[in-house]
Amino acid sequence: MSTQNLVILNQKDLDVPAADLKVGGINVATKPSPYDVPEAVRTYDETDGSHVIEIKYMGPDEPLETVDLGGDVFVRTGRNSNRVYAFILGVKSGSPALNAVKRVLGLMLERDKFSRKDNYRLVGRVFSNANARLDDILAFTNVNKGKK
Amino acid sequence: MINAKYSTWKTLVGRWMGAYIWLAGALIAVVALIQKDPVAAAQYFPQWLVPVLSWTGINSWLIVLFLTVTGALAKLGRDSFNAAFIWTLIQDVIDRVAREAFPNLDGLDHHHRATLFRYQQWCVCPTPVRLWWWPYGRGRWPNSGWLVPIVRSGHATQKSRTVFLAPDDADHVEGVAGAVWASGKLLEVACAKAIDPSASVGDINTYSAKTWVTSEWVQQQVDAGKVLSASFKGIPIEVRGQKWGVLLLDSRNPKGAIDAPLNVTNHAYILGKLLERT
Repeated sequence: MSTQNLVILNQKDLDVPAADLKVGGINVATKPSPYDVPEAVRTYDETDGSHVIEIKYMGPDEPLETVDLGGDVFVRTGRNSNRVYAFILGVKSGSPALNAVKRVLGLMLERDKFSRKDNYRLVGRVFSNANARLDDILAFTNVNKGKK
Repeated sequence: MINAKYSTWKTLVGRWMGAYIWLAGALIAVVALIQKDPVAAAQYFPQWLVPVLSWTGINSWLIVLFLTVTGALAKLGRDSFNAAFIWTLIQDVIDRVAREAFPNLDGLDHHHRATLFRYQQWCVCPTPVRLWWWPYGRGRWPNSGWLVPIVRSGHATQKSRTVFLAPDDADHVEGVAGAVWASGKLLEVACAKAIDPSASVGDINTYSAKTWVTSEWVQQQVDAGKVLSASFKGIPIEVRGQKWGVLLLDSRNPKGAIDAPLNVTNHAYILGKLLERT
């Protein structure tokens, strides 16, 4: 298994402006919970050839579960929080890593089973083209090799 | 509020209890050995101890029972002291949160506070009472889900027992703490001014419309001589990925909590880690 060092994310890239939300009938300025904000990302290859993009948070550890999203793509989420902790792109996942991640996040935002929408949007920002650290995150030798 | 005081004698007693747990375990093993074969066991002890060994062999089950019970009690006591120690650390963190959040604001410490609320399914005596004949409020029960203040910064207003409803039907939450709990997000609420006994009915109505409480609730608090804060900032607190409660900053300054220069991420992390041990 080959591993890339953690890429610490620039929190300013992830700082979203307060958004108005109706809670209990009252409009109020809200921001995502600090537990939903990714702090770092690393990528590595499993021995079976699948690529893992792992996301770290400030929150304490929690039990994880892996969900099969089809197309040899899996997502590892927190059993309690439903936060996304890793994308696992199998050897048959086919598409470029970035596209696979975006597709997974799109599915998670659509499905009710995945309830932590703020978290998925913030992770989406990490992998958005506007994020200056994207190249650092995905530059790891094998994640994108032969898949671009 | 939890009494987050800790003393050196608790540390000392806690250590003695830890030592006793080990000793009780070792003694149980020795007694079991003696009981199994008292004659063989006697070979390993001096002659003058033989009567003691004989007595131990006869009363072995009683001794094992005594050691087990006292060992279990010692463990409970030690765990309780350890939890008390963790709560002192949490009190320190909450004090620091308040100091960091309100560095240069006018007023006393209790005008700008940080409070940790814990979610509890059950609350037998919610205060203030919602209806004189039914303290939980219309259609609510002791197990409706409540946010109870556990630790508050500073030295004053420590006896406050203002509990907020945090029911499963999240549209009916009470207070800013309840709204933070229901939304699971960081919330900021600013009112025009703090509510004190000089507040007009209009002020009270405006205040209640922004803070998830009824005008009657606000009036009740004012009649009790309380001053209600003007600004709030709250974040949900999680323990191992599960919602545990709410950390709420409140200030009598209308911008105090909103402009709080606070590193919420670090504090939320430390609180989550400490609360794992309570």
